[in-house]
Amino acid sequence: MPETATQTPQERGNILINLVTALGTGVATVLYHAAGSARLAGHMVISAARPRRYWKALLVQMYDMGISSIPVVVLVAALSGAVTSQQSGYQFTGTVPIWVVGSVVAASVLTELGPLVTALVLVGRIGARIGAELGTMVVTEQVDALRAVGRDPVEQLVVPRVLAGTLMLPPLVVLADFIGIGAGWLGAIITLPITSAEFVYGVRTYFHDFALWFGLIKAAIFGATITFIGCYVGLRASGGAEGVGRTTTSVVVAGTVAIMFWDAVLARLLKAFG
Amino acid sequence: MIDILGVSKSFGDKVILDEVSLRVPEGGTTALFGPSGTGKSVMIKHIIGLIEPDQGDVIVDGVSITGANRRELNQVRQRVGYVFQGAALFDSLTVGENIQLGMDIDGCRHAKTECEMRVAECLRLVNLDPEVAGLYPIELSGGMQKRVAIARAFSGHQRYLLYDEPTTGLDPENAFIITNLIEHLQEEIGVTSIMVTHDLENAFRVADRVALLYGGKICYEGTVDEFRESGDPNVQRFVNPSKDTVSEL
Repeated sequence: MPETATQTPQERGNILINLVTALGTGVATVLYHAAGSARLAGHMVISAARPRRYWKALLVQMYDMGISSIPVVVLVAALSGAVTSQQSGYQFTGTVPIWVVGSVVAASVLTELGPLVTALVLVGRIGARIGAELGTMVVTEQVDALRAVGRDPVEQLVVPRVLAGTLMLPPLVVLADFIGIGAGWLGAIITLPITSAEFVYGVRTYFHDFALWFGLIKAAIFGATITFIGCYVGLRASGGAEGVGRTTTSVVVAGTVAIMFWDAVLARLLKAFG
Repeated sequence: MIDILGVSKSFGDKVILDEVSLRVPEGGTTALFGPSGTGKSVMIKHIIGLIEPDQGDVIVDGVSITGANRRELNQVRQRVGYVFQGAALFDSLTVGENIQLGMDIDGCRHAKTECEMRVAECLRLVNLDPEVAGLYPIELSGGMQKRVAIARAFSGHQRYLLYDEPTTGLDPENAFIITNLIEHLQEEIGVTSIMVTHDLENAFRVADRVALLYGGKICYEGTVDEFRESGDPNVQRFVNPSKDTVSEL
């Protein structure tokens, strides 16, 4: 006999109450973090008006997020481009003109793989690092020490990181676009029955400026999202080493979900405006 | 003068401070005792506005901390230095840069040579060589980090110094050195200090007055001699814990 059939009305009522409580708690948590994020964003905008106080930190962060991320971005973009050309080549051979491989690689890399894969890689590399760094500063009282000497932690820690992320993701994505399409071309001419001229023809047939610009806008939004989540979650860390570990995990999970969410929303906008 | 007036603070359901009041007169050192977790650090963090009270107020030289704007808070922080329990030095900055942070709350506006001279002077006062200024905190021992934290706290000529368990985690020799340093600073630069500690022996060497925090309230306040001779059950329980007093807890 199913278990539910043996439940009394009282037990069924309790299950309903538990479900409603869990739902209410979930909604309250989302609203709580939405309000906290809005407060931090507002504080950040006000603090950003005083660049004299954080420009040195901004340069350090730009170097760290931009230059230091180049190797991993190049590697992942090259693999993405090569895999895309291989997969599309196998699918298209004998069914559609082979030059379409060039169009598929360009379309995939410029609108999705370039910004998205770069952002997902940087959630782990930059977002997790920011979360762990700020989390450690919170649990070792360095953030309190900043306030104790009259410095605003948002101005000193959050603004340079979020600005650096917003400014450095677009150039990284441009690099990823070039490397991805280049690797796609190389992979295609080596392993598929396609010439360079056919591949380039395919790329040029698809290419339009808007895709490139849209990719860059996406990159800036992804950069701001990754760094903002890293800062927001990092500054809420508590509980020593275990707390910092939890913070890092939360940054990666929340960052990945947020990037996928933005990608879905922005894809609709691309369709509407493109 | 620092006046803590009826300050209450709770975290969730847990009441940490329950209408605590304490007056810290100018000059001298006040030791704040109490078992772990009774809110000693929470109490002194209210003094520089790191924690806002649920109720009550803190007045520093006539300035109310509750409801103070950023400029007013920074004026108070210019007068009050804080030495954190774990030193809390910034890993990414050198010792010299850490000390400079405490010099001017709006950033070091002094000339470079003036800054360097002040850093060297602060290092001398805490018995460290000037060459230490170029090192990073990770390159220093725990005792040296504490001394740099103290130097940072008074580098802006602060009038009050708040020490959060300055000897915790140090070996007896380093604890002795830090206590000597606190005593020496008291004599040389004449600051008013509040020291949160469990280290009775070292605290008795430097403190003029003692306050005991128990159950969220200041349950004893007096001079060191009065404290030593006090028959107050809370003082006895703290100073001479026995099986009976522990079982009462």
